[in-house]
This record gives sequence, C-alpha cells and structure tokens, in this order.
Amino acid sequence: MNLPVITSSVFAFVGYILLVYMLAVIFSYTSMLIIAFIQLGKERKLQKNLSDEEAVDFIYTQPVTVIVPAYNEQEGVLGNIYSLLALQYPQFEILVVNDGSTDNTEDIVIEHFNMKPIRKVVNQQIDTQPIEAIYQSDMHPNLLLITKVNGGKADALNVGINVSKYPYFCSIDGDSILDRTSLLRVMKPIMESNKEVIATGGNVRIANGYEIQMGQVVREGLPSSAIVMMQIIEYMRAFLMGRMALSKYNLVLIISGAFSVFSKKWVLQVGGYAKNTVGEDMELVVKLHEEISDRKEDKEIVFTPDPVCWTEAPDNFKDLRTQRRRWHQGLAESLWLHKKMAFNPKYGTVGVISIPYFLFIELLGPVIELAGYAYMVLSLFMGEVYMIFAGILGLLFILYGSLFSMASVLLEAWSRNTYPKVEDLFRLVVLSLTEVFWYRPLTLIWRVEGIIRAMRGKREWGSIQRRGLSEDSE
Amino acid sequence: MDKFLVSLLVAIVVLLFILFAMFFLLVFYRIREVKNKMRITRYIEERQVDWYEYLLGDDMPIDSLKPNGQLELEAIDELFFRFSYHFSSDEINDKVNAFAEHYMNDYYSKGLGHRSSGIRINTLNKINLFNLTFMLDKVSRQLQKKKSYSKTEYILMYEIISRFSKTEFMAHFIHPKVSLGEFDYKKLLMELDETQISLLAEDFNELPEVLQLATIEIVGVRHYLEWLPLLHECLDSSVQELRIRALKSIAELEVADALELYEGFSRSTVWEERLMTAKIFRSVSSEKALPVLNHLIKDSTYQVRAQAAKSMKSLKNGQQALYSVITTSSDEFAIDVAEEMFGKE
Repeated sequence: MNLPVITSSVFAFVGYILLVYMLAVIFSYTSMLIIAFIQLGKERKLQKNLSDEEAVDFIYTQPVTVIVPAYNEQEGVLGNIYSLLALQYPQFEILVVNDGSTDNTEDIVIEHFNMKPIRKVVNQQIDTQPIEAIYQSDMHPNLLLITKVNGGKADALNVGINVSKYPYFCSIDGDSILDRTSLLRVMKPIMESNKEVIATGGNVRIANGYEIQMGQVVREGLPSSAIVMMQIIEYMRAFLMGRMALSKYNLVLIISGAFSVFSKKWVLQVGGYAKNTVGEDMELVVKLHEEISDRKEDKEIVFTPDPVCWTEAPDNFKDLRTQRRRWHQGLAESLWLHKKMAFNPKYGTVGVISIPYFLFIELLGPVIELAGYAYMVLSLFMGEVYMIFAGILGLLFILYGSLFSMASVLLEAWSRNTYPKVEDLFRLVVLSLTEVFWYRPLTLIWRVEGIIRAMRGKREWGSIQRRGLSEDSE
Repeated sequence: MDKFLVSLLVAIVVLLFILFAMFFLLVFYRIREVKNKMRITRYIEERQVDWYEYLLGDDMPIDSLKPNGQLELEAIDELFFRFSYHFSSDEINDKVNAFAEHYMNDYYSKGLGHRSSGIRINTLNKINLFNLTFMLDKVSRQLQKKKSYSKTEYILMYEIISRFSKTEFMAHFIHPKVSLGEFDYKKLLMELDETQISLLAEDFNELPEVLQLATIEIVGVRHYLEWLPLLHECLDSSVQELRIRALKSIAELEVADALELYEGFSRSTVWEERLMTAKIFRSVSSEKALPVLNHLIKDSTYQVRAQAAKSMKSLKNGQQALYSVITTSSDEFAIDVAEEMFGKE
C-alpha cells in the first residue's frame, strides 16, 4: 500500500512514541524487579516464625479493631470470622458491619455466634448511614455485628471506624481469610517504627484451589483453571514489580482494601473513607499522603510482603471483567481527585514520582498498549518498513507481558523455600509465557473500559459471584 | 532499524534462555532442598525418643547423640526449636546448653558471623530462645566490632546481653549503637527482672526520654509498687507524655492513697490526663471517687466520659451512681455512656 508522505510520517511518529513508551516501561519494571530481588535476597534465609512468639506480648503491641464490611457475603463470612477469631494477637475486637445485605449474612452470623443485641454509644466522628442495631457474641465477647442501612463499602468501613474502640483498625474483605500470624506481622512495621508508619498493607494471595477448613488453610495447592492461575501470576508480578520497590521508598499509593491496617487518628483527620469513588482503598492512601505532606510530618505508608490474606479470585471472564473494570475506574478517579499532587514538589517523591508513575504507566498503560496492538495489526497492511516496527513492538510486548511474568514466578519460587511444588512451578512458567497472547489483551480492554466508566461517572459496583473459600461455608 | 530488530530478538532469546536456565537451576536446588528436608524429618522421627530421654530423663549419655554432619546439626537445631515451643524448665535449658556448647559451638558461631543477615538474625533468635548462655561472650564481642549491623540484630544482641548478664545491659541501653524507639525499649525491658528494672529506676534521670517512658510503663504493668514515689515525681514533670504514662501506671497499680495528687488532673487541659485520672478513681472508695467521676462523666471528650462511666460501674454502689446520672443529669452525653454501662438491651 502506498501512503501519502504525511500519513506515513505520522504513522512512523506514532510508532516511535509507542517504542519509547515501551522501553521506558520496561526500564522501570526492570529496576523494580532488581530492587525486589535484592530485598528478597536479604530476607530469604530469615526464619520469621522464630520471632513471632516474642511479639505477642500485649505491652508492646497496639490493640486493633478488625473491621469486616459485609454485603451479601453469606458464602464466605463464617470462614472469614473463624479465621479472625483464631488470630494470634493479644488485644483485638472484630466488627462485622452488615451493609444492608439482602441475603442471609445477618441471620447466619447472629445464629452461628449466638449474638445478642446490646446498647452501645457510638462516637459519630464520620457521617454515615444510620446504624440499625449492634449485637455482641455470647461466645466471643470481642465479636460484634453492626447492622446498618446500605451505603456502600466505604460507608460500612466508616461505621466500623465510628464504633471501634482501639487506636488502629484493620480492614478486611468479608470473603477473605487471614493466617493466624497475619495481624501480628502486619502490625510489626507500625510498632517497630515507633508509630512513624501510619498504615500498612498486607500481601494478598489467591486461595482458589486451596483446602480451607474453619477459616484456616490446611493444604496449599494450585487450581486447575487457567484464568485463576493467570491471576496468581499477576499477583506475584504486581507484588514483585511494584509494591515492594515502591514501599521501600514510601511511594505506595495502593494497599489492598482486602487487608490493611491504618492509624485511626490519621484516617479521622482525612475524614475517613471517601464515598464518591469505587476505589476507596486507594483514595484513602492518597489522601493520607496528601495530609502527611500538608502537615510536613515524617510518616510512612508501607507494604509488608509477608502477612498473608487469602482471597477468592474470580474464576470466569465475566466476573474478572467486572473486577478489573472497577479497579481501574478506582485508580482513574483517585488520580483525578488528587490531580493537584501530580508533578508538585510540595508533595515530595509521591507527587514527583509516584503519582506520575501511576498516571503514565498504570493508568494510561492499557490505552497505549492497546494502541500498540492495533498498530501492529495495521502495520501488516502498510508495507515492509512498518512490519519491522511491528516486529519490534511485538517482541517488546512479549518481553513485557510474558518474560517479566515468568521472571516473577521464578523470583517468587526462589524467595519461598518449598512453594510452589516443582510440577506446579512448571505449569506456572509455561502459562506465564502465554499471557501476552490471550490474557493480557483481554485485561487491557477491561481496564480501558474502567477509564471510560470513570469519565462517564458510573458508580455502581457490579456484583461478583462468590463461592466461599471454606469448606464449611455452605 | 533492521539491526535494532535483530539485536532485540537476540536479546529476548538470550533472556528466555537465561530464564529457562534459572528455572532448571531452581528446580535442581528445590529437589535437593526437599531431599534435605526429608532427611532432617527422618532423623527427627528416628531419634526423637532418644532426645526425649536425654532432655527429660537421666539415662541417655550426651555422646550417644553426637551429631554427624551438617544435616544432623540442622535437625537437632529444629528439635531444639520444637522442644522450646513445648517445654520450658531450667533443667531442659541446662541440657540444651550443655549439648550445644559441646557439639554445636561451631555451628552457632558460624551462624553468628555469617554474611547473610537472615542467618545471623536466626542465630541470635535461637541463642535467645534456647538460652544458649555460652554464646554470651561471642555476642558481646560481636557488638564491639566495627562492622555495623541492622537494628533488628542490635536489639537481639542487647536482649541476649540483658538476659544473660545482670549489669552489662545498662551501658548499652543508655548509649545504644542504633537509635532505639519506645517499642524497642519496651521489648528489651520485658526481658529484665525486678533487680534490673530497679537499676534503671535508680538512674532514672540519666536515661534517654524514650527509655524513661518505657520504664514508667513497665513499673505499672509489672505492679512494682515500691516505685510509686518515682511515678509521683514524674507527675511534676514538664514532659506531658511522661505525666500521662505515670498516671497510666498509677492506674495499673490500683492505689487508693495520695488522691490529692491525682485529683487535680481531672481538670487538666490534656484529655489523656483526664482519661487516666478517671481510670485511677475506679480503685478508690465510692465517696472519694464519685465527686471526681461525676465531673468526668460530663467531659467534652468521649473517651474520658466512657472511662468515667466504666470506673463508676466498678465502684461499690456503682450501679446506683450510674442510675442517678441517668435520672438526674441534664447532660445527654453523660446519660448515654451511663446507659451503655447497663449493657444488653
């Protein structure tokens, strides 16, 4: 095909932009992978169980309120509560906040834990939807159920903050479960930093394929579903080529809402969780960073690689699409709400490095990558010169989409002594090489959909079908 | 452009090759590691009865358990960990210490000097956990080295020194090689016995402020009543946090005298001081406590009101006093917290 010179030049120009962008992305991910490698190398031989016992003494731990926002969680809520009741931590309370569920979440919890209504004065520090009732378990006095008018996850968390009596709170999704030592280990950075750390996020892992009884993992395993396995790889990559390096330099903007701990005082100062975004967890972290800079305080928000929260990953394309769309919409909304922080030296490294990184690489990445895929297809019709361009782009996509994933799987396996098993490791490695051909393009489309929804101001959550992690969830 | 494409292709192929090489290397090490683990498990299964006999009985001679090779050393180390988890007695500690000194001196010394900080930390944790007192000199020498260690390592070394030596710890606590915060000091102080805490209390004014705060708190938690005068002294301090901690520890000690010293704090401008005062008055006779608590239950801060109501409830005739707040008070918030104390609906 012969193209007019101007069209040809524009096409070449776009090609160069895509090329430079991909090289920049690859450079930043490689740097983060190296940082993660050094960090993991230091901790690889450390036996963490040796120091768990000593940290259990109440005198140096801070009491924590665990808040479980629950909306239609009848499948997973019991396993979740069991895992929380088994936590190895000296002083904590569990607040299950039923956000106007339309299923049997409330009845199940009341009946199972023998809960009775109590009278409790609530310190209404954040405006929320009204509370209908508060119940306390006869069997476990530190377990409370709060029922309230539906107001969304952020509102449920804010109610939990209002009712909580301790200076730190831990938010955990109603369908997730924690290891016995998770709370202790996620609180460690806060305690050891002598309160310089005001929020920590734990590592979230996928538990599909695991055997779980009474809220405890009894056998690790790998699911057979390729979609879920692909997400396992993705979680590993996000952790190794993102959070670990960002956390080292206090640049974390996302700590998972599925499992994180915050200083209540600081969260109250920023008005609690925002209700005007679907990504309330990221929004809170960005607000905290903004507050830290405004007050010129030397506080940190960190990601802790070790404490584990098990969650159920979507096992079909429909649910995965809903989830990814929502995540990306949340990212877009938070960045938009805090646009004044971007490139603003007043907000230190968060303003100059973190926000631009999330803007150009995490948020706009899917748009540019999709453009790259389209460019490659178009190039096939546009003559030899462009074929070379397309070839280069294609190879960079393979490097970026598949080889990095494979490297992450290997790094993860190296850092953990016995997991995954050799045959599982082999399955993960082979699957990671296929990512660029099916999984990645799909998630890119869904993420772009998230940006469009953010621009159109769509607010609904979209429901994801849960099956429940515990065998006893039925 | 062609050249760039070719070099990129080569780079990717090389990278793929390296990744696969790493994969096979990883598999090789993984298989070896699993095999080693199995051998360690086998040793533990085969010899644990002999170890029970050695540690809990009298008949097993020490040399019959002499380790043979690195894997057996690791297996014994693992056994010690399991024993330390389930049993605790001076006799078992002495036997573990004697065995380790005889046969595992090199093993733990190598761990202490290892270039991987993870292994050094594991070794320090084990010295502490298994009470390996024979390692004290080596740990002290490590502290004198010019090499700098991580904060975790320094804290573990200080912990070992304060557990295994009665007086040597003081100098390290006052002039640590790394800046220690309150959490770190509390962790260290929990390892000290009463005489060691007394040493700190005697030199209270020489201590760094964070160590003072931690010491004050330990006095309360451990109920060291003889240090009440020190707590009273702290109430006059210009450091607000020290006053709050002193009040907190006084509340822990549950003392009912010198009330005039505490009463004034019920009108303090610092709400934490009023909160602690409300806590102190839960252990005082009703007639002395009620005037103060009736004032604090109307406090502007929720936490103070809630504590005042709680303290009131624990008094003799407390229920009656709370009932009187509900029926006679004009303060809605006070009525709320008083009603909450009556519990379930």
